Amino acid sequence: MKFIETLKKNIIPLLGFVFIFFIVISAVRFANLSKTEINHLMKKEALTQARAIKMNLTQFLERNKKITDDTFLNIPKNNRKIVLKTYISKYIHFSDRDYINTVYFVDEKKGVLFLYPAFSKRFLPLEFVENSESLIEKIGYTKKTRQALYFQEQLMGEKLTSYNAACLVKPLFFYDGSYAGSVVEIVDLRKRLVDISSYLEDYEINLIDKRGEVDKPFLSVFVPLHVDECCFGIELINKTGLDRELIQNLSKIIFTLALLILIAFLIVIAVIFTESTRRRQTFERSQKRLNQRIKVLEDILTYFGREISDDSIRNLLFGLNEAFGSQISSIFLEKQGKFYMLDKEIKREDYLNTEGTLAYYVWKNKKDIMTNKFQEEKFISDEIKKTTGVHVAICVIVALGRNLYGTICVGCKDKRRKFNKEDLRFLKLIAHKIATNIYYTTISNETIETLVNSIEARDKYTEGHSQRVAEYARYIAKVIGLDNDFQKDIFAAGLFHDVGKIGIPDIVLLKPGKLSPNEYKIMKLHSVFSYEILKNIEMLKSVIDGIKAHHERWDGTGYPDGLKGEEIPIGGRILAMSDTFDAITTDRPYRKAMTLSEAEKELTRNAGIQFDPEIVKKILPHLKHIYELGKSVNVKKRIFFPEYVDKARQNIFYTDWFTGLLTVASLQNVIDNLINKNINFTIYRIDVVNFSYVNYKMGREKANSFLSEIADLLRENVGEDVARSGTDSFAFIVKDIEEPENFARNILDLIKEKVGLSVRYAYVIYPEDGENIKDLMYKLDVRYKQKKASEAEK
Amino acid sequence: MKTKWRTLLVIVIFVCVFPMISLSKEVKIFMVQSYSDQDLCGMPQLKGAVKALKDNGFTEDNSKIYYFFMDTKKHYVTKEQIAERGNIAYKKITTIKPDIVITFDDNAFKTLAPKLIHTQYKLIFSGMNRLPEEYSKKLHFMDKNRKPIAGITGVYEKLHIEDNLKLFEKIIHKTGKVVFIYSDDSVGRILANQVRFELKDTEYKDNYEIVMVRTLTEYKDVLKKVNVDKSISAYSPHAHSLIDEKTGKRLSFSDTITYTLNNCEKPDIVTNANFCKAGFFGGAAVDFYYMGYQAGEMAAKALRGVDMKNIKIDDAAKCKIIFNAKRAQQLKIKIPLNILNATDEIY
Repeated sequence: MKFIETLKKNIIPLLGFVFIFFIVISAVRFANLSKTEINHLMKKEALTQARAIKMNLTQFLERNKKITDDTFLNIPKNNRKIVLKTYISKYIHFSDRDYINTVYFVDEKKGVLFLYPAFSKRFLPLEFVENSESLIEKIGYTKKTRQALYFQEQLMGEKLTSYNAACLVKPLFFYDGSYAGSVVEIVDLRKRLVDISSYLEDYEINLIDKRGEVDKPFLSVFVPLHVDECCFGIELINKTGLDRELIQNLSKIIFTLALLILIAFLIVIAVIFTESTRRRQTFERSQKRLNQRIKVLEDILTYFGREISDDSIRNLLFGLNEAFGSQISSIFLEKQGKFYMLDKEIKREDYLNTEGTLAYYVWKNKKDIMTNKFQEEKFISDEIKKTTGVHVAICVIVALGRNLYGTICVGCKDKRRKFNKEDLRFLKLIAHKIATNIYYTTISNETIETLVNSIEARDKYTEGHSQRVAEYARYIAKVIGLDNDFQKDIFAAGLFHDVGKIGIPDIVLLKPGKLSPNEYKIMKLHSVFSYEILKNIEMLKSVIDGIKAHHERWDGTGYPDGLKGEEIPIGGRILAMSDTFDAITTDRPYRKAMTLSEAEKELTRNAGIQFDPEIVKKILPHLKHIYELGKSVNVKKRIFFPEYVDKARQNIFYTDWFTGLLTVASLQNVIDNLINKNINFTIYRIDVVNFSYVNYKMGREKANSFLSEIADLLRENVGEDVARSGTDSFAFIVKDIEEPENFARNILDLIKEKVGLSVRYAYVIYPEDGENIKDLMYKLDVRYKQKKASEAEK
Repeated sequence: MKTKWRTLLVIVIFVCVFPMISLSKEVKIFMVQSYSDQDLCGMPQLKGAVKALKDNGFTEDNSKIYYFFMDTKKHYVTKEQIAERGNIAYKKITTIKPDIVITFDDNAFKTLAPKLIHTQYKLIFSGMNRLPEEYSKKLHFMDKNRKPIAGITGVYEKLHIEDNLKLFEKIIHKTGKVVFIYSDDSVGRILANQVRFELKDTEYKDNYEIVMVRTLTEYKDVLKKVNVDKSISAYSPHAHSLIDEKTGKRLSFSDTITYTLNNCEKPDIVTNANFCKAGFFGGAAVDFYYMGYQAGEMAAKALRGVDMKNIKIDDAAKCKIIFNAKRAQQLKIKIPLNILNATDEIY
């Protein structure tokens, strides 16, 4: 197993070694084989070509000789020139003239007569031909054999250099058999060779007289060409890259190649290693940066749903610098009108003072910018360029949909750092998250505000109560060592703890006096209502039970569940203390606010009864601070409804809603007031005679309208101090009246006249009939009943 | 239906007949020879050009060749006369409106090129001795790579002087100074410049002398010097036009051949086969016929529609080895057998 593990670890070097070994062995083997094989194969091909050329040239020369034999026949002794002219014309006609360089006639006595290409008139004496002896020799030989023979001869060619040509010597005879001279044809074999082998582009082809001893290229073949006395050699030399030197040094080349492959292999290994290292480092760097970025995002998400504080901004800017490798970061939030910049330390500026910055420009133009030439941008002021020293920067709008909240920027002082699209995208993501946070925080605050408004709209006496309870609760939570999250949650709970009062009817909620047991029973439901209203709000999840339990008491006599001691959630215990502390330290209509020491005593007295004694113990040293905290809360003025509406809600206890007249209780207050001021007055009571019959005869609606008309007549003629004392009865006060009987009769007549109904009346006079309201009301009731009885007798 | 068939028939007839009409159009070729119709240099060129045109399909059946001989060697020799002959040739050209104009030798080109450049007429020159670069300084008809830019192209008469001197060395087996004798006139000066141009970067650059002669006396004096001076191995007689002080007549090259051959004992190198034929020893001569043939091929290309810009100005490609047997005997010069085997003509 150990061996297999070791093998696995070293598999790449091992494979590399095997690969190199294989290459070297192959190279050695190939070097030994290829030298002879290549030589053999190439020579074989060259020989085939050379033989084909040889065959062509041989056939050409033989054909030419035949044409010569057929053309240059015996000649007459006379008119030799004319005959020769005829013969040469015939010969040129049939022969392949392109390769016939020269044709001349040699007479040993007269010399040389040119026949082709131009027929000359004059013989050039042989003595004027240099080396003519060799020519004479050849002519002599053919004369003996009496047949045409090819010899080898030199020919002056282009650039005036000599080369080999075939020389056909044809002896001519007169008709009598005597010798007449010889025709000499110079055949340009080289030209023929060039023409017929033009397709062999890979070879240099030479026509040579014999194979020389000179150093010939390695890949060359030589094929002898014998025609009569003419002896040539056709030499083919391979012109391709594999010349002799190449073949001879093949071993070296192969080894060099093997070495090169080895080096290349090592380079590849090195490149792979370097590349993998680079990739690993890049990956690690990317991972590190990714982690930093994830952290920044986590931080932002941590603040989600909370208002952005200075601390959170500071953490965000530090996080940005880490995530982007930047030195400067900034955030501008329009709502606060502030611009925060982190350049070694946090700076805070008014937005208006930031003109010339990238953030200012981006916000003004509402356009994201990424620049790697910060110092060259025209819209950045020179001062900013100089003071920041930034070279590359990104700045994006903090926005969510159409909601624009500000800008967020990062800047780098290192020239080598270049921001890319990925950086831009990430900053945009952060900006989006911040915008989302702001959006939902704003919504959350608005929701809180709405709820608090709705509570205080119902009960204006609790104005500021929720805010103070929230502050007390947060502070108490802090004092007793609960964490930040809980402190924030309990603050919200403080704001909302009485939201359930929305569900309590005004008749109970606004009742000025003491509540009846039934009313109190209803009132106690508000903590349950608060729980029911708020239970689905995520941010209150940790304190929702506390809201429900904020009227529970330590001794278990509280409501709604009668929880006892530590059964009561900690939030409930804190809220209970906060709620009570605010109730006793603020003025109420029925009592004055307690002082700090009184409140301290009250709390101490109720420790272990109403409140958690441990909490009381812990907060007592801080009670002064809590007290001052309550005083420092700026109670937000929430004017929701016009004053008269508020007043109207309060009048629920003092007004008859059907007629708009006072209730009996309100009239009693007026009477109390008049008695206190010692003002003389008369109290009247009137009621409709036989109203049940009217109701029966005319219908409830009509009967009610009669009551409404009577109420209006009384208000018009008596004033405001008129009350509805029963279904069909009214009571009113008239001050300082001299003839109360007449006043009553006038009212009776007026009602009879205007409404058409009869009313009965009774009255009492203050102070004659009684000195207090009790006596007066009793007498009025007695007189009324007497009057009703006497009317019944009649 | 009938209308359709009729339309189709008209189209078919048009398609068939139109090319026939085009083909049947006679091609007009105008040849202007600087000299007479007997000139030893001009005529072979002219014949070569005619042959080339014939070989390329421009025969009597489909083309007509117009000839004009300026005769500026013997009769119209002054500048004014030459210019006047050029004017006449130009008038003929504008009357005939040929498809192409071919000029032979310098005078024809010199007088006609300024008139025909940038016109409808394509101009091919042959046997021009003065360097095309010199002409182009004024006319701007080619770029530095000798690519035509103004509808003029042709064949420059390269004299192959270097080849000639090399051949001569191989024949006489010795080196020595060669004297080139030219008449002191426009043609002579052009030829002298040609020699200088061709030898300027060769091994012979310091081994030749050019002598310009105006009169017969001067010419004779030069020949005497050639005979006497042992450093001179050969000479090249090319005095085309000399003034005989005694008669006041202008002597052509032919008029001085006999005197030259009888009085000069050094081998004479000629660049013109006809001079060899006339009695001089010989050498590697310009193949005038082939040069004319080259120009004719260029003209054929242009007539076939090849853009003149793509027909590059060329040197005369071929020279031929020629000897005069009598003069060889006279000078007792032996011709090596390998050279004899390569000889084109022996006179």
